[in-house]
Amino acid sequence: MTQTTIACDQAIFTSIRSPMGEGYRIVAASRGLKPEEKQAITRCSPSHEALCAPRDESGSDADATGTAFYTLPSGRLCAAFTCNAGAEHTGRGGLRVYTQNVVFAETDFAKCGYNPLAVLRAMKAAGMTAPQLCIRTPALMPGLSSPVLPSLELAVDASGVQPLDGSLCALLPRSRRCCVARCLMDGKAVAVELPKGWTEWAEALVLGIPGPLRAKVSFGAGLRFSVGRGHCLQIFHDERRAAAGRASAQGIRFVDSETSEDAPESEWLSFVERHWSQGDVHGLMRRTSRPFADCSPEARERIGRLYNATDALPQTESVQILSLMTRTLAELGQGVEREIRLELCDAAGCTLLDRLSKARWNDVRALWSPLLNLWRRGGEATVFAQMLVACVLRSAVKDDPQAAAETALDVARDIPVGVDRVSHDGLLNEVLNRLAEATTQLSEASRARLKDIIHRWQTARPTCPIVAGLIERCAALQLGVART
Amino acid sequence: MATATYTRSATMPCLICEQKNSLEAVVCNTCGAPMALIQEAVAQDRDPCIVTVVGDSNVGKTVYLGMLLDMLSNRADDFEAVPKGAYSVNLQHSVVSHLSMRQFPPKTAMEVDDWHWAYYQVRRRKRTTDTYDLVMPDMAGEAIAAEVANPKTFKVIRSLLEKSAGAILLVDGALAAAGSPQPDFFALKLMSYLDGVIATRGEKKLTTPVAVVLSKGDYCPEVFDDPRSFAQSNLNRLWNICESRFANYEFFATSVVGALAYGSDEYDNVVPYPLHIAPRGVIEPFEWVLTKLQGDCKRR
Repeated sequence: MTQTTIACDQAIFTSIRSPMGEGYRIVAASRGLKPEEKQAITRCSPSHEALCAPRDESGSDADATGTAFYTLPSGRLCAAFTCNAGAEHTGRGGLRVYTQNVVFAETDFAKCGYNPLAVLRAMKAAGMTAPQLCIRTPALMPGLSSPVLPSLELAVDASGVQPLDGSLCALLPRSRRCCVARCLMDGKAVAVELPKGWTEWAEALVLGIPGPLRAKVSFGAGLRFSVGRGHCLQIFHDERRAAAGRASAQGIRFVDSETSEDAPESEWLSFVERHWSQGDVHGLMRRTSRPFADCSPEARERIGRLYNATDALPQTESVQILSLMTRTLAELGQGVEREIRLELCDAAGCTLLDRLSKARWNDVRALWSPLLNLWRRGGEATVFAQMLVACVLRSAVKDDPQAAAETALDVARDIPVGVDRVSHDGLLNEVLNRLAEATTQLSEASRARLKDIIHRWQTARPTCPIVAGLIERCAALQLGVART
Repeated sequence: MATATYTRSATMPCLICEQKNSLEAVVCNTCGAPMALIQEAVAQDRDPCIVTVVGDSNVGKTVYLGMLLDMLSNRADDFEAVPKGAYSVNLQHSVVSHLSMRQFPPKTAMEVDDWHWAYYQVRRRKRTTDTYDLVMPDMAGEAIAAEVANPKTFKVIRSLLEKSAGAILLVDGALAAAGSPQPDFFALKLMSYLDGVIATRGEKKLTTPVAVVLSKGDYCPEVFDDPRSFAQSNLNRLWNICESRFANYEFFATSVVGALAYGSDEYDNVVPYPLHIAPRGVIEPFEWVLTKLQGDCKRR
C-alpha cells in the first residue's frame, strides 16, 4: 500500500451561466460518466451556502473546504472536494460553491488503502482542487474552457496519512468517537457536530472501521447537514438545534458536545481508540486498511483481540505470552487473520527473546515446561518455540552448564517436524561442549551429577560423537564414566 | 382520508411520494417533502390541492411565491389565506424581510431539505366557495432543471408534479425580451416533461391548468400589454407546445420590485438592489388557476 495509479473520470459541479443554462449543475465531465452517475453526483453535490465555516478564527468563509465520498449507482466510487470559487454570479449574496468529483472503480479502492482521503490528497497533489474557472471574455461570467474533461490516471499515495494533533483529538472525546465508529460499523447513519477539523476527523473515523466496509460508508465533511445527500457520516458545524432535530427525526444519530454516553465496549474499538487517543492515524491505517475477508462483528472482535494482545505484550508476563502463543498457533486461520496472528507471534517472539537473552537461568527456569510443550506441538508452534529454546539453553549454558545439559536432554530426542536439524544439532553440541569444558575442579556432588547426565545423554544419543568425546574426556579425568 | 389508520400506525405515508416514514420524521426519507403536510392533511381530513411553482434557476420563483403568499395572507383581492404551521410562513417572511432591506432573498439551495414548503388554506372571503388546501414548495431551479434533463434525479419533483392540481410556470420575461432563446428552450423542456408526467390516455390534451407567468416585468413593461402576444412572438416554442398539448393554459406578466439599482461585488458581478416593492400581476395567475380548479370541481 504505497504509490499506485488509478484510472478516473471527473466531473465539476458548480454554478455558472452558459448557453445551456445557469445555476448549479455538472458543468463539465468526462465522457466516461454514465447518466445515472451524473444523477447521483447532482443529488449529492453541495450547492449554495453548503460549506461550513470554522467556528473559531482559524479561517474565513472564503477559505472553507469540504470533502465527500459515496458509492454511485453503477458501483463506482466518487470522491469529491468542495471549495468556494468567488461570489455567486447572480449577485444574490453568498459564494459560489465549486466541487471537483473524481469517479473510480471499486476494484481500485483496495489499491488506495480503502482510504477515500488518499484519493482526495492525490487530487490536491495533481492540482485538481483549485477551481478550474477562467474568465473567457470580460463581458461574460467565469466559465470553463471546455465542458468535456479528460479521463485521467491519478497517482495515489495510500500511506500519506497525517497524524491528528492533540487539539483535534480533544474535539471528539473517547465515548463519542467510539459511539460514531460503532454506528458506522452497524450501518447506521450518524451526524457529528464539530467546530473544526471535519476532514481530519472524517479520515480518522473512516480508518477506524475495516477497509472492505468503507466503500459503503459514504460521508460528507465540512458540508452543512443535509438529509437529502443521505450520507452515512456527516461531520459539520451548523446550527445545533436545527440539525439535531432534523437528524433525530430521520433516525440519524446526532453526536455533539452535549452528547453523553458511555463508550461501547468492544475489542475492535479498544485498539482503534488507542490509536485515536495518540493521534496515530497512520498506525491505525496500517492495521485496519487490510483486505479482511470477514468483517462480521465476530471477526472484528477476533481481530481486535489479536491487536490488543499485540499492544499489551510489553506488559504481559512471559508465561502468559507462551500460553497466548499456544492458543494462537493452534488456530492460525486463513488470509489476513492468519497474517495478523503471525504478526502477533513475531511480536511475541521478539518480546520473549529480548527478555530471555537478558535473563539468568534461574529466572527463566519456570518457562521451560510451557516452552517445551509448545516446541513439541510441531509445525508453526515448533518453529516459534525453537528460537526461544535456543535462547533459554544459551542462557543456561552461561550460568550452569550441567543444568543446561540436563535441560537440553528434553529436546535431544523425538525432535518434531519443523525443526532445522542442523542448527538444532549445533545448539546441542554447543551445550555438550560447554559441559565438557566445565569438567574440571568439580565437587563430589557435581561429579555424581555429571555422571548421571552423561549416562542419560548416552541413552538419548548413543551414536553421538560429542557424547563419545565427552565420555573419553571424563574417563581421562577419572570420573568413572564408561562407554556403554 | 383514513385518519384513524394514520394516527394508530407507527408509520405515516408521505403526502408527496406515499413512502412510509416514522411518525417522528420531519421530512420524508425518500423525497424530502415535509411530513407536516400529511399531518396537517390528516387533521383537516381533506385532500390537499397542490399548486406547484416551477421555473429555471434565477427566474424569480422565490420572490414570486413569497410575495404571492404574503399578499394572500394580507387578504389581497378578497382572498383569505391561513398558513397551516409556522414553517409555511418562513418563505414569505424571508422574501419580505430581504426586499424591505433592499436585497433579493438568497439563492435557494439544491438540497431538498433546504427548500421552503408552504401549506395554506385559501378561500374567497365574500363568496361561498370551497376552501382549498394549497401546498406550494419553493424548489431550487437547478433541481427542476436536473430533473427535467434526467428524470428521477429529484424524485420529489416528479412526485409533486404528478400530484399537482395546477402549475405556475415562471419564465424570465426580461431575458426573452432581450432575445435570449434560453427561457423559451427551458420552458419547452419543462412543458414536455410535464406532458410526460401528467400523461393522459390517447392524444387528449392535458387538462391540468398551467399559468405561464412572464417574470421580471419591471425590466420589460411591454409584457404587461399583452402577455399572450408577447409569448407568441418571443417564446414561440413554448406557445406551440401549450397549444398542442394543453387544454388549460394562460399567459400572465408579473413584477414584484418597482425599481432596481445596480452595484458590483468584489468579483465584478453585477448586483441588483430592489429599491421598493411594487407587486403587479402576482395574484392573477393564482386566481386563474383556482378558478380553473373550481370549474373542474363543479364539472365533477
